[in-house]
Amino acid sequence: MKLHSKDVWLGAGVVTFGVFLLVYAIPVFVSSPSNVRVMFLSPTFWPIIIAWGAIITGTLLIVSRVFGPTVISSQEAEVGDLGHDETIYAIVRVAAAAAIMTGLVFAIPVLGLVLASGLAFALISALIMTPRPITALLVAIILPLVLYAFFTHIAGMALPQGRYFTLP
Amino acid sequence: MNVFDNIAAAWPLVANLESFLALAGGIAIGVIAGAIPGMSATMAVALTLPFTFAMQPITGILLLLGVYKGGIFGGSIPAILIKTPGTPASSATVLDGYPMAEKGQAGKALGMALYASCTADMISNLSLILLAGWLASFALSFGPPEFFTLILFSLTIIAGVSGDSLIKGIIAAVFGLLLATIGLDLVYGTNRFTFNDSNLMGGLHFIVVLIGLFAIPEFLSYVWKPSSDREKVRALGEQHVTFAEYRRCFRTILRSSFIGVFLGSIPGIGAAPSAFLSYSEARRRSPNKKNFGKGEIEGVAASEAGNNGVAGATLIPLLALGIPGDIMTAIIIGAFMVHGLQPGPMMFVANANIIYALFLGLIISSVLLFVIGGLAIKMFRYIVDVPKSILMPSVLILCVFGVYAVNNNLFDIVVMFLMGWLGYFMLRNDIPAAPFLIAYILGPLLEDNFRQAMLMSNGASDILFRSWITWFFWGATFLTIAALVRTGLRQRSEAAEALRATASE
Repeated sequence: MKLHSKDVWLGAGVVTFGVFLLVYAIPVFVSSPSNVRVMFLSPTFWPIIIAWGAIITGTLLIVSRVFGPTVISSQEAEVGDLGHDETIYAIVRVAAAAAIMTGLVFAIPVLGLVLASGLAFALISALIMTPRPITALLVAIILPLVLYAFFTHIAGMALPQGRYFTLP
Repeated sequence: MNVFDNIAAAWPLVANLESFLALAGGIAIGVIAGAIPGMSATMAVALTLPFTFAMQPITGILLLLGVYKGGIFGGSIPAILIKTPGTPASSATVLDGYPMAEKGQAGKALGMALYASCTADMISNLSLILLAGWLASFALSFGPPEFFTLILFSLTIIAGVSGDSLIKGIIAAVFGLLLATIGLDLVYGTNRFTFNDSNLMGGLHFIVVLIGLFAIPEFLSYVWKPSSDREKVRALGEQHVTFAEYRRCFRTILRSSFIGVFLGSIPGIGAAPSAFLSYSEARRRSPNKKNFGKGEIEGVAASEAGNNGVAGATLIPLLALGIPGDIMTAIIIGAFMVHGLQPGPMMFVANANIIYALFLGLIISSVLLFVIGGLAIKMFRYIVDVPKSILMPSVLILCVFGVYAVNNNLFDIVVMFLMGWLGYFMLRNDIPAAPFLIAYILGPLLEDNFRQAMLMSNGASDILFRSWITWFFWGATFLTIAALVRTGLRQRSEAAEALRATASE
């Protein structure tokens, strides 16, 4: 019987995380007053139950995959569709998307939400090698402006403007 | 106040241009989003949510309900035209809708989908109006122990939204429950996983979590594998459904609508199983059963009535008990919360005018769906033709603006991106996101009611068995779990047998 190793590792990760919660995270990051008389009312009670839930379900996943029939997931089948080179390109694209998202967070206070998101749109369009660069460029300019107009002038919300210019 | 007084009080809330436009706009957005492959109705509801913040509660909620209803119908358009269901609920529509399109009867199939959808939607809305008030008045006698057992039972809906692997669904739910513990403790006010960061003390905002979890992974999936921009779209062909055809299918539509109402009122079952059950029941009873799967119009009617029959009924547990019936209503509950409303039995007492305004709005929505759906069929080519290379970056920008608008806080954008990566990891590992979100919503309610019950009894756990209502929900929970375990074991043994048979060949 073929082992579905990905799910076994997933189960192991969930069990490890549950143990980490019980042993370290809950004692350190959940404050509980010393005068709690009833265990059920302690702030740590619920997180402990959840941690045990993680350990039990993670174990069940491992057991079901080790002793059960192999299940090939739809995602796995989809990933299998990509060749070796394509997979590398896909990883690079996703990593670049992560960089753009991170950059967007840092750019918003500096450039403002409109300019930063317009730039992010343009960069993503370049990343996916859009077959419609002119449409993409137009949308990169128009969409943030329309959203800015809605949220600022209709919904009455203050969006970050950035350091270099201010929109009306 | 009696029903008529409530309707009279609610009428001014709905009978104005703003509400009408919100409903019509919502349906149009929903139909368009449902019709665009890759843009699900769930994502549309999630992305529309931030636009409702500045609206009156009833206007915002009607907008979202419009998106919900429009989205379910809109999913049938690509199901029929390009064999790609816009929503999971439209999967059964493919079975006969696409063969009809291949025969040059796409217009007829879409027409029947629209008529069946509107009829079922109306029946479902009427069922909601008749049943929700009754259920809510019963639920008024619930205290914390009853609510705890009800919510515990409601968590079994995770089984219905777990997809292929129940264990992975439960794992997702466990992490949803964990995420819900972030913030100040409900009883003592002490820190739980806040890392002394003031941004985390109020917990993570529900809308930020849901947009991150449902919209960003779709964007990342597209970045992973940018697919071709356009699908092959068929011509409408023969366009009109005759009255005789509608009359021939009417019994099927009626039966499928009631199947939808029944399944929709049970939390967690959703529209897709209802569509398939309605379809198989229609095939079993039809004199044309041999034509099913080859382009039978009754098959389209059954599946569309089945999935639209669910739409109003899923609001029964939401409005009467405060329990979301499916993932869409789980998102809509966010709109209630944003406007300071808590769905549940008390809302029928404190905000009866809003409840009845929703009922009136839902009735109007069935009529609007008929008009807007009819226009959408004629404009289908422009709707389906939106290129993904433009759509997906737009989704990201919509998410960023929408999430920032929740609290005017950059921190929320960071949380949304983190949730998006978590959602993408879950997607890649076949871990369903819906149980995570449902547990995230129900988790604090479960814990709050449990601890209130414990405070009432000074820690004595027998309070959780104090009435026949708690016994009923305990029984229902254990019966559901037993049924799930039995089904799971049977499926495993069937899979093992199939594997052995393949190996022996």
